[in-house]
Amino acid sequence: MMTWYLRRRDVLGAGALGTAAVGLDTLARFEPGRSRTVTVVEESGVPESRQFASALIDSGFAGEVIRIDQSLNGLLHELEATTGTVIGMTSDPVAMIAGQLLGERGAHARQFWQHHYAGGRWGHRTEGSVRLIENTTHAWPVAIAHQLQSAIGSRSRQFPNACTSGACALVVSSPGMLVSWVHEFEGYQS
Amino acid sequence: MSSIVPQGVAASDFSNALDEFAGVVGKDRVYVDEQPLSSYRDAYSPLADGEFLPSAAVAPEGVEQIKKILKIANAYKIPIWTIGTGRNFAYGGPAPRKSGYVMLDLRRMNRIIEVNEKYGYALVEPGVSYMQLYRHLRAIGSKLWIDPAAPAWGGVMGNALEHGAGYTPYGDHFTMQCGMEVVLADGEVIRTGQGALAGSKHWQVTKHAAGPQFDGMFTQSNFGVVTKMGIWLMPEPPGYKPFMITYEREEDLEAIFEITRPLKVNQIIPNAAVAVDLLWEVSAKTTRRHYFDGKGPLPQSIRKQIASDHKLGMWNYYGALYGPPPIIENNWKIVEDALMSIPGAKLYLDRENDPAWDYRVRLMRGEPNMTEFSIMNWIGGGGHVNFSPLLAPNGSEALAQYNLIKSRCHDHGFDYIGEFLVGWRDMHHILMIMYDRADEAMRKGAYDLFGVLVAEAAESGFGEYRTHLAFMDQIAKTYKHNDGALWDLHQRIKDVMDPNGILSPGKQGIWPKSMRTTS
Ligand SMILES: Cc1cc2nc3c(=O)[nH]c(=O)nc-3n(C[C@H](O)[C@H](O)[C@H](O)COP(=O)(O)OP(=O)(O)OC[C@H]3O[C@@H](n4cnc5c(N)ncnc54)[C@H](O)[C@@H]3O)c2cc1C
Repeated sequence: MMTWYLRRRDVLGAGALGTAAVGLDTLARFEPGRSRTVTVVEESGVPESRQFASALIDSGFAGEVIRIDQSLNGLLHELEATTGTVIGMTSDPVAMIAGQLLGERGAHARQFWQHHYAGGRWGHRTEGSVRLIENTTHAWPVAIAHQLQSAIGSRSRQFPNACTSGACALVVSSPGMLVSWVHEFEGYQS
Repeated sequence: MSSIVPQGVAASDFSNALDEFAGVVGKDRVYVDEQPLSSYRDAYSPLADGEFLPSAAVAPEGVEQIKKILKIANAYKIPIWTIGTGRNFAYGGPAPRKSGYVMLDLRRMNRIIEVNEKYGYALVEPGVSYMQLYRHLRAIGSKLWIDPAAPAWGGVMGNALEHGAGYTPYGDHFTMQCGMEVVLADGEVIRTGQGALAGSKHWQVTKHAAGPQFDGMFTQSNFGVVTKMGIWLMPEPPGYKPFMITYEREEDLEAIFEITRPLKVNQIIPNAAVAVDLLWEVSAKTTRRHYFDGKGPLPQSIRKQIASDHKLGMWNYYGALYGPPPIIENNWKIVEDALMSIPGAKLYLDRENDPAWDYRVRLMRGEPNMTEFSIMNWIGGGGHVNFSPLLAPNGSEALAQYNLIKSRCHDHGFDYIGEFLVGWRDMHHILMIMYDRADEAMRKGAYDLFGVLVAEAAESGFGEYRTHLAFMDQIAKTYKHNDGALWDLHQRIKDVMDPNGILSPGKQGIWPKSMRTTS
């Protein structure tokens, strides 16, 4: 596993597509001059995780990405060197391992939102605007990416909400239960 | 700062002790705030949140600091809980047996002191993980393998001290351990085996020495803090042949282990032969919610569908042969004839796009990875606890135990998710009870199920090889021979070696005198 320094054109495809699908042309931009490192952890075998990571990279919010394959070994190799904000939408076990490793290195757990497929619908426990996520069909990870960016640094009440669109499906390679999470090292809190 | 104080210790004494710990290791190595302490909780706990939380943690860098820490703990009668790498998930993670203990976190002690290529061993400190040792061996160009447990972040020492298991021929880690250095509760440092001889060159070469062998006493116990341990490493063999065989019917388990016993006892199959049930095996590839939205155990029709979709059996058998190719080919004929004699058996020497095959093949050749954690996606929600009874490599015994445990799982609304693993002459049965921690009824059901299983297994003559913190007392009490004489001995030793009861009180149901009534 390697930490990749991504340029916008490397990821334009997936990220741009996802953004367009939910009409989120206002995705928060990385603020120039702010010395914050944002690393996104992508679980490459999980489609929602890829969508989420692409959205954050494409918006310029995340400058680095750590890609984790099915061995999950990248977590052990790559998280060691992270600083600033580390963010991801991953399966539950990956969220647990990342949280453990980052917590031991002194990172603070900021956000922990859950996404759960049951009864033929995606359900979410998130902070912030519920409606945005309810109507996003298959691009909900992009909406979450957007919402999570603005939630960092201010914790508010979590609300349960479920997908209300017609097309709400579970793809074969999705674990069906995901967590979007944020950990921050001291001195980097936004 | 954490508001938790060790039971029976005055707040002022505790505060003094923390200051004194800081005087030994530095203020930045004594953790008292919520953030660092939260990483010592058991993320998979079968208990409600808020149990088994430490009051503080102290992280020494060597033996001299440990001695001083123990002196302070003795002076203030502070209970401490020792961890190596602290990855004991499924059995309690890094969490202490009771809230209020001070963690003795040995992760900073992570030196690989020696690798001996000629005799095939390493001498390590408590904080050395499998992944670390593996990378080190590759970096120095060693031709030695390690034998990792399924989680690559686990500790070479911590796992062996827990009697853990891996998947190469060196899979019984306590058997492969050779020579320890231990700090006793009173600060005395001892070395076991040949290490007790000043200037010995054979500490890691042989377990034998004059006098009693004490190493076992420091495993699954609270009699000392182990600071160095030797581990034998397998030389890379000239050949390796992994295989997987699927079996169609649950009842095949009986024939599988009748056939396996002679193959294992005679070391024709030298590594741990494992029969993995359908759901454990498939859970690295899909989840329950892809197939079934209801509660309770999966209907049989869906199990059949899963088996067919993923080309799996009700049992999926893994093993490997090692050595010079002519020997492998010769032994393979014996293995194949025997294991393929069960009707419906299907053999795989490779499987494409199969993460389960992939991680097991890596483990059987000593390559650490973390893939097995993905099986937790089966339910999701981060709860699981392992029930691990021992039995003989005997087909009817295995089938009887399987039927008993499966029916109790079903009674409590859980799927059976398990595997049987033959080490050499014994068999470990690992039942993984998975639950969503956010579902309170499910978490409680898992806890209750575990308790029932311990009691019923004991009634049928089965004991567990290891257990989660929450069940240590219950399991200790099942060892009833002569009115519990063995645990009585453990506690008598505890009282002599650790009269203030500072070292990991309650570990494995061994309590110091002062806590026996309150525990
Ligand atoms: C998905 C999954 C798969 C797993 N697969 C396996 C497997 O294949 N094989 C297996 O064996 N286990 C397995 N486990 C269980 C467990 O995760 C491993 O056994 C792990 O290696 C134990 O943690 P550790 O090595 O970090 O030990 P630690 O947590 O450091 O130590 C375990 C215990 O040993 C004692 N101890 C540790 N160090 C010392 C010391 N220096 N002095 C005195 N006492 C000490 C303490 O009581 C401590 O609580 C699995 C768990 C999960 C979640």
